[in-house]
Amino acid sequence: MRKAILFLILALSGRTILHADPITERVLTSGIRVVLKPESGTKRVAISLFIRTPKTQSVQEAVVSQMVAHALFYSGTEWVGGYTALVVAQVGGTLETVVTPDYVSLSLVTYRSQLGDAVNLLCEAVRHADFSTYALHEAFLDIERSKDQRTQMPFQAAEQKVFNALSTTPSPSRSSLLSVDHSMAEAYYISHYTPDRIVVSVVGGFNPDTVVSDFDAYLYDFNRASAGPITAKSQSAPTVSHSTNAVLTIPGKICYALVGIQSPEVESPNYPAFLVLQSLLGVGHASRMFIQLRDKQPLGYQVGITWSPEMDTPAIAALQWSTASLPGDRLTSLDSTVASVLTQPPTSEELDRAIAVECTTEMALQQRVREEAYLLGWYEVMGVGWGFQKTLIADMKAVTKSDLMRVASQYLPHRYDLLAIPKEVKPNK
Amino acid sequence: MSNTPKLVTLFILFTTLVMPCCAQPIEQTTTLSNGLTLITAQRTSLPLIEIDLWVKAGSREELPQQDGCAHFLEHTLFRGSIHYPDTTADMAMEKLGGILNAATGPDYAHFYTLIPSQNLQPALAILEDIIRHPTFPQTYVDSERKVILDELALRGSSEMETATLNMYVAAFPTMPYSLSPGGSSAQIKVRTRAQLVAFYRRCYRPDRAVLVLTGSLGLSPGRAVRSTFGKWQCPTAAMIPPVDEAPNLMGDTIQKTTSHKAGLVMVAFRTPRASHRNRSVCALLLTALLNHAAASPFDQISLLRDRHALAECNPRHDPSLFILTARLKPEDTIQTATQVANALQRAISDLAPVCESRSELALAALRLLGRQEYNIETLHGLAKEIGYAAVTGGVKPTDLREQLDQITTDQVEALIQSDYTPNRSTTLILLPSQPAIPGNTF
Repeated sequence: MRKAILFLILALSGRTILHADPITERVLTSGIRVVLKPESGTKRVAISLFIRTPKTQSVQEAVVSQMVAHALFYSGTEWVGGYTALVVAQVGGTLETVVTPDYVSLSLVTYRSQLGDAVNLLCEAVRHADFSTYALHEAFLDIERSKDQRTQMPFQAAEQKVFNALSTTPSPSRSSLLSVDHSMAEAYYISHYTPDRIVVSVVGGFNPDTVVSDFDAYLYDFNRASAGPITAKSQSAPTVSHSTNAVLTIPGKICYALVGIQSPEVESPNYPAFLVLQSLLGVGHASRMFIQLRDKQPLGYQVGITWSPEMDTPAIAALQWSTASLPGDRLTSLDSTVASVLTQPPTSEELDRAIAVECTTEMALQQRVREEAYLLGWYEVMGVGWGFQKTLIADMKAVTKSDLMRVASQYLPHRYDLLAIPKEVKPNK
Repeated sequence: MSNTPKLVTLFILFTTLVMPCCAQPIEQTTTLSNGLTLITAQRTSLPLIEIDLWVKAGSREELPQQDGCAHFLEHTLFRGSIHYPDTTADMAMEKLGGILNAATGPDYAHFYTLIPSQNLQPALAILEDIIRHPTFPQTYVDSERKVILDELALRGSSEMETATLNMYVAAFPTMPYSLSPGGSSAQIKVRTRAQLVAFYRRCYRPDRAVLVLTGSLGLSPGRAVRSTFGKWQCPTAAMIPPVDEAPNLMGDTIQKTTSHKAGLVMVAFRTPRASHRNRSVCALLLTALLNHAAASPFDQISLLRDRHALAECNPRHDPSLFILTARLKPEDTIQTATQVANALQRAISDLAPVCESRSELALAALRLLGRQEYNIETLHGLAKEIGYAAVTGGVKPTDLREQLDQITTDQVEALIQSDYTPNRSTTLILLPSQPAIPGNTF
């Protein structure tokens, strides 16, 4: 009895037992995989629907892939632009379409009470796409609008220039987008949007059985011949040579120095060590970049590294400063700090720090239902499996100095340096 | 009697497995004997803890000759303490998995980090050393000065931020809110180490501090806090008392130029202090009504369409501003800008009849709660909402729903008619210094 009372006190005072709800995978009648992570304690639900696309496709196919993805929500027998917008607003107001060379994803966040509508919306978009002239035109406008927005934002414009320089897939031109017609879109849609290449992930406050039966009710007859597995991509070393002379003129009064670094894909054995490497270089206030470029010689207020592996983009080390600052060759300083790992191997303290910071960052990604649904679906559709996150944290903890040096020597020599400055600033500032 | 252990066991199972599933984390507030307020909120889904220390040491507390000290101090505290000289505190914290960050606002400076739960005690010890035993090395005062000047220059390039500050200067010319929370470049250049130390001694005290811990806190987070921050002893110091100066808002218009290609129009009204909870939540409700993504009242006025009209209100410790903003197009003339300002005024006065509809208000309240749910989805967001409410006297995140339930349509309408009227506003028109249309100047 005394023990029971002790337990009671402990339970009331701390409630420390974690209630991690299990993640499960179900397969719909059509063959589509659904990854489910119900979380009691929230009314929010995030759904991500991924369609795997082959990275090795031709430039023309990549253009068609973009148009098809953006046309989905303007197509269908029931869903047209205005109505779709209204429904999206009703189900929480966030609906995102992301297109990368590896996949297309449709994501939304909604409330438990409107989950049925949200599932219906996604299924209609994927199942009843018709690629009418109207839908393709709206898709074209969406893509152009998003390109325009990026070019108007100075940092994003600079980032895009680095992406383009290091990417193997060129950015689609206006004319190539306009050349996509109904038959091209439909052919691509039928051959690539197949159940074996679709993964749905759901995270948040929902009943798994209800969600699975809702998806099944809408997609039970989504029968298409298997497109076959996507063959593993080559893990060969990056081939871009070190480039140092690029300058981009941007609007505003802020200057940026950027160093782009090609990066491994999630299924690469180099992935965990690269995460630790980028953390060592530019994540946190004890990172090499922060110490060298802000503590030792204050060259700018913002300094750090940004990398979105799920978007298949290179890692970018960046330094930001105002035109009012004193001159200095900041791009050279940034580049030499990034390259310093090649000549000055990390100390044990640096390595421990980078691993600890990266493990916390990785865990923190599970806080938002949207991010977690996205990660689970992305891991599953890319072939590493939805359980990858646990493995990843363990793998990062096991990264050694020699792993880090191996990855550094593979990726760091192939850098693309860019100075993005307003018109009135001379490049040597 | 023999059933008691079974009942106890059932109760334990309920409390450990079912109760943690409740949506809203339960906040617990304790005041330590030294005056420090500790607020904890358990959320056990991940083995992480957000530590967020709030100190009532924002720009509001700056005395004459201390302009910029709040922000300058926030930077220099990280640069040397007794047990962590130079920048070694960053390395120590990051080896625990947390990145120590900080921010300064009008009513606060706060210091925060996200760490694995098992590192709570050592992380608190590092933060405590930084806050209690800073050494302010002159070398770092000088180097951080350069960093802050660059930060201010970057902020100065934000037209919205500059315009908002202009509005505060116009509305409350003699109040601390007319000072930029970051300080001005001119003042940062001349601040001395001695002035920073004086500001630190006056404002960094346990009775002005609120420590917020959110996450998987374990059995006794209070013990870890008492063993670190419990040793912080200082005599109580008075804060600048609440300011209730009548704002200088009399329907006037300020005209300025901007180096940007397109200008903007801002209309500001005085809004109640955060501790006037009913009225400040009414103001928040109005922002939710105006900023409705799918059907904004701004879009009902043709002149405001495509001009990115926005309502902003973030109640503070003292009365502050409710601001409506619209972006101008490069081709807009001064006459158009004046019409846009009138349209913004109309957008809010037209809301009075809208507010008579209980359903419109209920939908706006849902959007407000939805935004808050998004904000508190992360441990950092939750700690931030709790801490901000604690230092400003505003509504706690757990109380927002209840507060919204108490608001009546009459109360919202009364706020519009008493405070948000043209003759109690100030308008700022910013036009490009190099106009797209020649001759389009003031």
